[in-house]
Amino acid sequence: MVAYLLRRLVSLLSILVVVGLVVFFLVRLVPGDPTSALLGENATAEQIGALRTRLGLDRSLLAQFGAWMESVARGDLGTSIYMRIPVVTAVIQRIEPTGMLALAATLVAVLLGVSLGVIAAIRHNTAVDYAVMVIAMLGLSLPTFWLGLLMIMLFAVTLQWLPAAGYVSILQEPVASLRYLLMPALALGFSQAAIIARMTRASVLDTLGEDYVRTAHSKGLAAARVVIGHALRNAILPIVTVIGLSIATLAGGVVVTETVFNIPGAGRLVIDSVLRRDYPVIQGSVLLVAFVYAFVNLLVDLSYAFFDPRVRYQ
Amino acid sequence: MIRLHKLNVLVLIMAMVATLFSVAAAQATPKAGGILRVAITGDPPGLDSTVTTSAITAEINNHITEMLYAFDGDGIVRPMLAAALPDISADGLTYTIRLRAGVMFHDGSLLDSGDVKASLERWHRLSYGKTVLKNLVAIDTPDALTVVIRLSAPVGILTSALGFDNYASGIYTSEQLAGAGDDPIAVPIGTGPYRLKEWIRGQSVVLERFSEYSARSEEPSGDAGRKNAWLDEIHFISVPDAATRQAGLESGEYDVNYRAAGEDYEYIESSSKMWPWMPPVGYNYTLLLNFNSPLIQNLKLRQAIQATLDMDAIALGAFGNEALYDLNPGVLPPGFGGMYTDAGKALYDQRNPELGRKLLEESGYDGTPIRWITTRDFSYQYAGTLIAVDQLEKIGLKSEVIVRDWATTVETRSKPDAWEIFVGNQISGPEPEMIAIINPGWVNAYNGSPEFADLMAELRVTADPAKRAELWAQAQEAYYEDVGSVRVSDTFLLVAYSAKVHVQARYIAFQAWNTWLE
Repeated sequence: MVAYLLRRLVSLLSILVVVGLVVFFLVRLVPGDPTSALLGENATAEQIGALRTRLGLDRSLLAQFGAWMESVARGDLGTSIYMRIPVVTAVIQRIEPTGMLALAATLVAVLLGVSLGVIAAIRHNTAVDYAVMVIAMLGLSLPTFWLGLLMIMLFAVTLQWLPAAGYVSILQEPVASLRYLLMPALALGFSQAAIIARMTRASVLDTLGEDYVRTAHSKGLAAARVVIGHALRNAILPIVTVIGLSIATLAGGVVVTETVFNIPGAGRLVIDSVLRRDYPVIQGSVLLVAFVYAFVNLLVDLSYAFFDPRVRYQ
Repeated sequence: MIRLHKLNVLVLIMAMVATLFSVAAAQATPKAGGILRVAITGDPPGLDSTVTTSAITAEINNHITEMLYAFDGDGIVRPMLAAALPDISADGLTYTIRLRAGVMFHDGSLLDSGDVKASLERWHRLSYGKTVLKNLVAIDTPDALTVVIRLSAPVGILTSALGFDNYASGIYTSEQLAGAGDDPIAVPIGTGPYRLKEWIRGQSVVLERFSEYSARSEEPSGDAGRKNAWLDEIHFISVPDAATRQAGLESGEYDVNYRAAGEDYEYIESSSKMWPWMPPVGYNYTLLLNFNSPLIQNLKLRQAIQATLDMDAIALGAFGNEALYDLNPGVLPPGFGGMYTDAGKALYDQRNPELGRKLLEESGYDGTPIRWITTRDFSYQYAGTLIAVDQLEKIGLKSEVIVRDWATTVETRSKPDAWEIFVGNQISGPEPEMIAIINPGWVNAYNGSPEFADLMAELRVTADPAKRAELWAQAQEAYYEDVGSVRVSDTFLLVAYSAKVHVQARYIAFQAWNTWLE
């Protein structure tokens, strides 16, 4: 077990080195550097040169890479060139908004998608079914940013029910936080709800024709119980698969949603950092994600032995 | 029926008039208190405007720090931390500046000549002061409230430069300057009407009223005069998306949209819920030419471009509304300072494709495409580029449009062999030496024909306003004749205010002092 763990740790380290190497040189292949964002576009060549020296950008790429890896080995992901705060602090500050948005959008997607899918299946080939499928098609077709802007115009500008943009921490003001989250979660979750609804409808339709559903009906069970307890339950596996996939897709939409609703999340941090060529933040964020991914994989693998005593690591 | 006595009618009318006047007076009477929420375009790169030309940094920092001098609403330089304009020796080599007594920094210390000396030396070392104080001999402090700047050769614009907020000579305490060294100051301690309360990177900068602020007594105008800090706090909130900023203003989330989209101008103007404002000093929207390129070194080709273009079509396409630009030949803005001139106007906005075609033939142009670098990050750059390219293709000038993100465009622009033309906003100001496009230190500056260079050299050491205006008129004429750049127009940024925000003075940039909320 110890030998296996050591092997996996070595493998994890090598993954991080490769990821670090790739991201470090990749971001430097992109033209532009952070000086224009820091000094403004009217800086003189001398001032740009002085800043590049101060930031160490005039050293060879290998020297810069070595210095960065050395600080990473000490557990220091560096300091943001633009914001002048540690990369770890910058990322930690942004995780809560992104996590809350992703969670709320997933809830919206699952609740809305499964409900609409079940209703469409029960009312198969009726006006309700067609209406639900039209809504689903709309959800698939409308870009998240556009839907977000429409919602802002309606609910914030015209009706003034909800705030147009911003974020309040759920730890500080839970009610206000939910008001701020509602529109972005709906905008982001809607497209995923559409996918889930279509899959739920198809899957539940299949099971509704099964013998055990007919038997349940003939036993006199309430319709709701038959649908939820028998049809949906047996249709759940493909739906869960789609939910899993949609969560991954949702991560991409988070960046756009954060921009439209002005949520200071991790997605916007990375995008802003790319635009400003804030190398330490880009490198640190990617490395952090790679580390979490590899580490969670390791934990999952190790947990097999815990859940199944037959599993042995050598 | 109720019959009104004549006297009663008179009393009624007087009462109504009095009510109307009292309402008007109430609206015009400043009120202390409240939080002004300003939606800005993004997180500023820092709050130290000595080390960056970023406009957002300058406009936030102007609330926190002050300079020795400041520009009023007409572009005339006035004293701010200095008690009066400097005493300049007859040979123009010695500037004696008396400071106001009792001016307090946000940390409670009092302003003295040591703080000014340390701040100006840093400005000289790191910033625009390097250009302006090229001939600096020493900065002396004979007493606590007197600063003497000694030069080896005269400087034409020293007083103005000490009030210019781009690469600004802001005055900080000598203690914080000693701590910062050559690094940017993270938490500026100044003498301004507001002080930094909190800066959450990527989210907001919060300023609070500095109750011990030492205001001047003169009437407010531009950056000069009395600064009343009526607002309790100013929140600069980072909102990168333009549509979100505007929607937030309309929903009441924000009180100011710091950069509204040009196409919203008429909508904002016609709305009762908000009002538009444009700073009087705009930008110089121009075709920047890369003189390192052999194509651009061809004078006839430059003249062909200058002769052909229809500047109104380009500016209208780029900014979307006539209110947002002004077609005039002045490289310096009209109505701001005394240096505007229309010299060279015959060569401006000629709209003469026939002449352009003829000049292009005379240039010996061989059909090599002109490389235009642009970005979609700023729609006015991209739109202006496409319109200019279209107009020039009609006279036979071939083009290649290279579209990149902004950071890449800026870097490409610094490469001598990578481009020919860039269409964009160049910084403008009250004096020619403050314009980047003709500042020899700037990477893309026009270094000029010998005639232009001689005139600018003389201008740099001339302090007399009348003589300076005469020299600059000649220099601008030479600039047009040599096609130093192809000027399109002055352009103005659009700021949208909520109707509940009132301002007292004529601003020259966004500022929240002398501003109050209903």
